[in-house]
Amino acid sequence: MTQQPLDTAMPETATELVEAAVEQGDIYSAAAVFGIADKKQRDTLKAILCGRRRDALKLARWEHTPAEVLAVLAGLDDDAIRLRVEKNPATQSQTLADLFNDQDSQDLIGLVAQHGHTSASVLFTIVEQVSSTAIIRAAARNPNASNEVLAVIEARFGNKFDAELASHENSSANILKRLYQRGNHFVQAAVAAHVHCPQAILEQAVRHDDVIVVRHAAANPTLPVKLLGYLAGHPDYSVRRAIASQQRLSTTLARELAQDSSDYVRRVVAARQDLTAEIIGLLIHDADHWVRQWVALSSKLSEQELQLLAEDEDKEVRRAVARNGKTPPQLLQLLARDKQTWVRAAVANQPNTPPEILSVLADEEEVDVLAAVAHNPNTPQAILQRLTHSVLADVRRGVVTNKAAKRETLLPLIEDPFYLNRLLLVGNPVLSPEDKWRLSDDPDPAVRFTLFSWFSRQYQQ
Amino acid sequence: MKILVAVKEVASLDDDFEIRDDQLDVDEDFLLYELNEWDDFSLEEAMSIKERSDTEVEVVVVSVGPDRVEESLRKCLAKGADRAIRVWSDEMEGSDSITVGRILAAVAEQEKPDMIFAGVQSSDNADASTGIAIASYLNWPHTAVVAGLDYTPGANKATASRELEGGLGQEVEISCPAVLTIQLGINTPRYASLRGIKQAAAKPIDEVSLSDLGLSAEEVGADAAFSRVRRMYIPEKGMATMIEGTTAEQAAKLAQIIKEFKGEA
Amino acid sequence: MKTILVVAESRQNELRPISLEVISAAQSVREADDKVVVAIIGQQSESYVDDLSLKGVDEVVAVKVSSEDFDADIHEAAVTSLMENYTPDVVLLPHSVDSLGYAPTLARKGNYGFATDVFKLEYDGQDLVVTRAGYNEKVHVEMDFPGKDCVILTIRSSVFKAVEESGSPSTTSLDMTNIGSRCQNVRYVEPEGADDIDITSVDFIMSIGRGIGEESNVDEFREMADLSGATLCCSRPIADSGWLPKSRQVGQSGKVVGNCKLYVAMGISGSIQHMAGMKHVPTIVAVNTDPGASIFTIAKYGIVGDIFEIEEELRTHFE
Repeated sequence: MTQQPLDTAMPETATELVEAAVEQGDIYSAAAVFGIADKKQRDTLKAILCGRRRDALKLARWEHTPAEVLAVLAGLDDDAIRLRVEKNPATQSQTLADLFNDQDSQDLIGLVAQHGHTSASVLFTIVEQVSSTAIIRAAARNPNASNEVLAVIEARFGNKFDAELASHENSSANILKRLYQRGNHFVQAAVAAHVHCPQAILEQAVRHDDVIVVRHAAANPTLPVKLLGYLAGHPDYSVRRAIASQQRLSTTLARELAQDSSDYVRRVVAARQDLTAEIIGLLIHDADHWVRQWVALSSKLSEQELQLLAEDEDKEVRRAVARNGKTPPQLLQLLARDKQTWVRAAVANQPNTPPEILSVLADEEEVDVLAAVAHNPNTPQAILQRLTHSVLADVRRGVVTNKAAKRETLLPLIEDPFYLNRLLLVGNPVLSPEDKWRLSDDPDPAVRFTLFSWFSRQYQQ
Repeated sequence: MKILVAVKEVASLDDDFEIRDDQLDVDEDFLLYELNEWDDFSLEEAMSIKERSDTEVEVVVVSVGPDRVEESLRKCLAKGADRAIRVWSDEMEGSDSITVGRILAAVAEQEKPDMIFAGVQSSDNADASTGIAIASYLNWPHTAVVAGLDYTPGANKATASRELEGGLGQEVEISCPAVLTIQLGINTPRYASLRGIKQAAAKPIDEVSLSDLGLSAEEVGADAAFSRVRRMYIPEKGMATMIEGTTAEQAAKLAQIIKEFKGEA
Repeated sequence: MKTILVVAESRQNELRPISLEVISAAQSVREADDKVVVAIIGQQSESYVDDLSLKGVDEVVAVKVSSEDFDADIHEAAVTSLMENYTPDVVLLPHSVDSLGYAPTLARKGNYGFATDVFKLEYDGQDLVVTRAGYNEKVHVEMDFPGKDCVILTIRSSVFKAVEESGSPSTTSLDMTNIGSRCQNVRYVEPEGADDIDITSVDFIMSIGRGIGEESNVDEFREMADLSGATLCCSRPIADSGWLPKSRQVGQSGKVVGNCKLYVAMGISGSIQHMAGMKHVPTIVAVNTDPGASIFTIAKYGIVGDIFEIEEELRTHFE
């Protein structure tokens, strides 16, 4: 492909970068450089960003619009734009606080109450002043709500928001104690699962007659060790399963649960990181293929055990062996010839697969295998170069995201027809800034934005 | 040999849009324009016929609409269409799907293609009528919702697979020239190469007006339309019904939704 | 007094159920002295007369033509002559693939009023007013037909409740076997069997996104999907990581899940690219920790919560 001459030389400073964006007059490039522009340049950029209402609406909505641009848009006297800014997840705390102080619409306050960047102090003001159920519930669900905010909700609204309070990670032991005493079984269950749940309540919860409450207590990471043993013998499988996934489970209990009558319990045991040789021996021949699959992912397997599982009748079990970091090359070689594409794809995806095996897999036609070969850092450069010509965009993207791909390999992909492949090249460390600048007049707005954002970060002081 | 591909620039909406004060349409500021999704497939079908053909095939794209429509036509040129025609006169404002069919049929009479493709429908209005209306004005054979096609340019017959309800397919043999409306999934549309995009930027787009087509003002526009918009409004549906409560409560309700769907509850 | 003509539809020797819904649509605007005529067109059209003899139908017309399979030219000619015979005020067709093949032609030739995919009909005085959707279902549009003596409408499926109660209309037979055609049926092709899962044909999907974190969590959800009978699908980042096959990817660069009726989106924020593949699904349930996630704007039900905690509890209902 012939190269088109560049319209503008690569900018060397923040000022030059902003000038290039201004010259382009494009809202996406302008949005990307706004943060590094000086005051005078910002006025010029504002004219580009807010000059047309439809552009301002678009940016207020767009998921990648930088917070400082959203702050500018929030200052426009246009309710439709403000609404979109409030809904935008990137809008920062201060902008939200300003918008909150500036309005009395219940809908908009609700958006502030649920926003992930709303500060605890704004939430505090909201729960003190507002009475709308929807807004208080949004505030009670907001992870930024502090224990003080939650306490105000409890004080003002009694048990109305118990479900939310019991589920909130900042609820204190005191609140939880009261919730357990007055709540229904669902609320009690949520309290029993809470990391701040007082030990005395856990003692009660494990003996509750509703299994949902017991199960939640059994899953609590702070559950006292002595209660683990007590619950490991619980008649309900879902309680035993919760125990089987407890980090601090003793080997004795794990061995016991590895022989549980419920498949669901054994599956969870099989997924544990700390399997002993003995427990592996108990599970490796399990009739349930999910159990065998989870075992096959274990880092504690011997070569012999891996070999056994590599010949399993279930393709997901064989795939799990291919995913296992302990699987030796000769087994990967075997699995690379598996009749199931999805197993071979896992071999191609495996960081330990040697170049020789990848070279063979590169001759396949299946997209899942080829894309994984293209992404694997062990794949020889010559093969990667060949794969950059694949008709499949997913395969070419594999090369784009390959951590070992060299500059010469990646260069042709700057002209990839699929925008996402070009976009992902922007962050690639082996391409020079000059290489990347070739995307400055890219037809796709997301690519231009990503490029100008990358340069903005380079020139940021 | 020539294939004419009729395309449309459609408008999509984000959430939180507003209806115009006259209540007849959405406030223009909220409309986002793009090439109709179906048209990617009809253009691809024409391009792949062209590329497979032993004889020379010209692919001509045509669209009815104001200046902004150029951008969508350039996308078609970037993907390899040989020529693009934009038809517009202010009198055409307010034309409905059948009236647009009349305009496109007049273009076809001048271009004399061997085959015409149009998308099954447009994603904004979804009238699903323009393609068949073109055929009606030309009095050409036509078939709708084509999901597979066997056609050699210049042949007097083609075999088309129509996609019927419930995934059933129907193969029909149709006399040519004909108008086919093309369904999503008939092929895998290509992405334009960067070179194609740059070249397309320099290609001319033919501009055709009402008088060029020999049509009168009475034959197009809102007054010639087969229906009239009385009122447009935003239906009450809005936000999702939120399932509240603790995790166990929420999961129980989700389980109930799934079980009801499966007819188990 | 007005006449409403309904054109019923058959395929492969069976009356299509939507025909009874269209009759119901006719009833929705019928007044006491109106006449509802139901026509069925085909080689064996008479065999459907009994099924169409329903309450509120005044006359069933069996039109015998040369082909049992749908043919746009034949249908257009047959309905045209029915319209000449009955001079209806309104003609109602199913909004179906077959109707789309000839309804615009009918309207154009007769210069009748025309609207497709209509889900509501009513009269405002003498004026017929119909409602359909626009901008990808985001707005509703009321339309009328000034100056038109007759209006042709295609009626959306699953809106009007099928008429089931039988009645005793008069019956008429018409022979139109002399109409020629420019397009012939070759054969019907049944949809392919499901050896390899084709996500465009399944009706229940559970889908995971970036929020899944690591590959072993994908296994958890594969198990969950298995338990509940769902097909596990994903957004692009999951397929790009090689954690699910590309054939399971929903969205612009993946697949459009055309036949899905229930879509449970787990931890999918809802990029434009992903939503392009599933926003049409009638029941979308979204589970996400962020109440502002775009996915909630297209969902029917929303759950603000942690997908792993929900999954832990959800599975107990299916184990």
